[in-house]
Amino acid sequence: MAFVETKQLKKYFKTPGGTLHAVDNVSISIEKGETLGVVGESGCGKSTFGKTLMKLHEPTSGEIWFDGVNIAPLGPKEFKPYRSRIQMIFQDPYASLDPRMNIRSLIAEPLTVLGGMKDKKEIAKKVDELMNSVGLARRLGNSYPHELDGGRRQRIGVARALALNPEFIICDEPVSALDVSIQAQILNLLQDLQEERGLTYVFITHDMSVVKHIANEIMVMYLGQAVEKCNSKELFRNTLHPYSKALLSAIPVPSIHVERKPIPLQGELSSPINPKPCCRFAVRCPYATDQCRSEEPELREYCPGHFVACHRIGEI
Amino acid sequence: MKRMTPAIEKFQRKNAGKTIKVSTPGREAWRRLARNRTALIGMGILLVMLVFALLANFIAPYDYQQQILTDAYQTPSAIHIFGTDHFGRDLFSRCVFGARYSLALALLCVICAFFTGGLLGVIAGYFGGKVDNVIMRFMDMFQAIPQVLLAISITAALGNGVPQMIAAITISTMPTISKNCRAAILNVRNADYVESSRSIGVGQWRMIFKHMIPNALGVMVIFVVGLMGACINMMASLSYLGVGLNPPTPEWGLILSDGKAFFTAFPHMVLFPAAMILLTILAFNMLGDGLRDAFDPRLK
Amino acid sequence: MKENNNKTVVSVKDLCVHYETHEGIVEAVNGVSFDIKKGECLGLVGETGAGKTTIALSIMNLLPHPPAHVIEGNIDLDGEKILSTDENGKVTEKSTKEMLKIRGKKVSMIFQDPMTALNPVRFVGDQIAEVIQLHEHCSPKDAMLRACEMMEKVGIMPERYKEYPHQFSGGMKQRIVIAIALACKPDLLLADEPTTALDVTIQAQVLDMMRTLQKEQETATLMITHDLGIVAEMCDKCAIIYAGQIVEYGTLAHIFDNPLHPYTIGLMDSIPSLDKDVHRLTPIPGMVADPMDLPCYCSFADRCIKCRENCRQGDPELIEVEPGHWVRCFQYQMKKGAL
Repeated sequence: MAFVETKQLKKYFKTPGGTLHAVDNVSISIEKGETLGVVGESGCGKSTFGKTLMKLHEPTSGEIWFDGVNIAPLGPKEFKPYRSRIQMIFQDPYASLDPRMNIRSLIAEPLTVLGGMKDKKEIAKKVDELMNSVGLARRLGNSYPHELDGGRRQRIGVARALALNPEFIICDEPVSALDVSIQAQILNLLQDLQEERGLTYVFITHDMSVVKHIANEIMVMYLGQAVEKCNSKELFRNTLHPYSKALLSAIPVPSIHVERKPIPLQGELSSPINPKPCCRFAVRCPYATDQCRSEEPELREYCPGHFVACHRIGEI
Repeated sequence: MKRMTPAIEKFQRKNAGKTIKVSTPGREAWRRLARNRTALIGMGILLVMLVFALLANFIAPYDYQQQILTDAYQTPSAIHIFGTDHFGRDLFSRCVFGARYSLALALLCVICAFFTGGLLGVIAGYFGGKVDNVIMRFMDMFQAIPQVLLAISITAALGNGVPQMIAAITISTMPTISKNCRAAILNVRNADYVESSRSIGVGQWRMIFKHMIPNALGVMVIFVVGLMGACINMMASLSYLGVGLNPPTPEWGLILSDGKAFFTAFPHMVLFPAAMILLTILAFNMLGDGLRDAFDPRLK
Repeated sequence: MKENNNKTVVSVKDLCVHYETHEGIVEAVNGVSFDIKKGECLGLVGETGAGKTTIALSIMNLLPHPPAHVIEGNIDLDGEKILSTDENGKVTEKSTKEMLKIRGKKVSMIFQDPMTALNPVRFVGDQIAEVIQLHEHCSPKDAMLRACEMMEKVGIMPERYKEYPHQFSGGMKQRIVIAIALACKPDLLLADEPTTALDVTIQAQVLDMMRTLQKEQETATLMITHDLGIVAEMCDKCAIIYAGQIVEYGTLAHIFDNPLHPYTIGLMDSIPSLDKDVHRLTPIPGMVADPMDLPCYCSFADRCIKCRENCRQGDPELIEVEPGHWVRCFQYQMKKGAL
């Protein structure tokens, strides 16, 4: 069994308009030390998936296997030992840090709360270590988040996540709020930490080029479902699902020699409230047939290791 | 590239030799407040009132209930700067002592209201769902009755006196307080940093006391300051209507009420206590507005 | 800069804008000059705090006073002097009343967030018609017809004329904003990160639509963005801006095939590429320059890997290294001097 696995994971929310199928039957498996990239547009459930993985949301049904244990049904008490092994880096470094705490106490918080450390000297030593490993100068220890730029704030977020020596980190769009030049710094930092500590990542992003850079495996999500899942190289070499194709073709390429031919998609994203049994992408898909509009495609292994959920695979 | 414009030079001159202090969010807010002229005026007035309240015994030239009937109906003069009332009591002394009563009672009311309404609001906001629904519908019931009417009916039932009036004001302001506190907590509850703290295993109580209340405090302080003004207002109204405190307590509303019969002949008997009420409420409101600007990061 | 038979629509010269706040002086824009010709699209690329939006707001004459303070500069929009500085350094701005006639008619701006740019309680169609009626002085009926025409052009069915903004999705709202901006066929369009709030597939639709309209109406466009990909797709020329100064300016071929300024090169290297496999990115070291505390030498020197001693001794000038390709860096200044 892989280090992290989910089986038919579901997370539904009740809304006034009906049941929102935010995450619907998502199964993944990640080996230790690997990175799974989760890509999709806003509202595709990628963030909810991440938060359900670390039980910030209780899963509606399905299994989450972590290091040989199904953590999905565990109550808060039983889950506590796993809390420190699974951590998360949040998207918005401006909003995800308590503005009333200084840098040192922000980084020390996980150590005291979950780590149960009491000795002040020991905590201070550990905080120094952490600040060092994420590249924060020690003199910044007494500053407050609002005084720092986005890149440094995100480093605090990384340090907080690292504090308890986790094995598995869920990165929820960790670089999308940052400037390009800073984004590269944080990506490198995450890669270095992975190599040093053998971390396993789930990397959630909307940016195809970032996910290609950092992930070994990629899962493309659309309205709560996985539509394509395979090795990173394979996805870019042999894109199969029409949505993945459209997504790839829509990215503006910073080069004047690449002629981009975007695949036109009609309409806009809807939300998966009370979805009908059909392919959720059918409304926007240029290749949709009657079968697509009446029958939900299954995620099938089209070629070894390459899973696609599409009726018309092979024809298009 | 640094361009030396007059403004930059001025700024550098001003800040030359200053050591840079660590700026906590609280300190930043304080700095913004200190630059706000309206807030400063408000604070100044309140400071005077506070001095009146604390040092009333030394400032007041006469005893507030000493009646010198021969001196009755005197207009303002050097001896009685606010004049005297129909019993010959020195109005200035009464107003100075009135500051003590009004401020202390308003503070008491606010504290009581916060421990009842505020707490209920925090609970409703944090737990949400059914708890929230029950508490809020209960508050809606209270809010359906006009505030002053509610307060009058409570004092009418309980009788005049200090504890009765505090109870009346507490109960009638409770709904607004609880709704405001609930909103403040709700705002903080949905913040990303609360979720981020949950992910590192922060428990319920630490979350409320270490993360949520400190962050909601700014909004609550603004609200308390505004509420102080409202409480003084309500107290004066109740006393004026004769359902608040008992004479001869030197409460501003009572002094005003005493003077109203003589308003046409001796307007000073009404104008001075009225001015005290007005100034204090105004000051609280000015300070409240200033605090709002200081705490609101959008105006930064 | 490159000669062209087309007339210049907007010319910005030596624009210098500071914000004077209690915390300090923010040197947002420090001497920016550029021209945009009819039908041309100039991409303005830079990171947070580089002064991109300030430049656009100066052209619209929408800078908040205070704290904004124009130190000097000339902005000439199709013969209208929006901003001018006389020999004594006195800065005159066009009055608000005169600007009302210019905004929407000669220059329009698209903001980043379409959610806040529309009035939530009015029909979207009426909001488009309002601009037309205001500037073209036509009858309400004509304005309405033209508004419908405009909606069709941006890809919204005219049947949705009588709907409120909240009934539209983000991409659709941005289309309406663009329709309002282009309704009176302005000479200049300022697009401030028009697609940053949108998803990639929606962004592609909106960009396509914008490009078609821009070519059709021959609008001069200033495209403000942080995404070099959008520039490669939309623009004819590109200006890279850092700490309120243009550090490199040229045609797309100059910028993408022959970037010269270390900052431009750094930006290109920090973007993960879809075509190439790179194990590690090469980021620009350090942080984005703080406009409140700029050095008195080259602003980029502290992050520059090619920084030499003389880089910290003065401020380099923008020099033309090849026809139409301008760079602000000492490396090239010396080479030029040696020639």
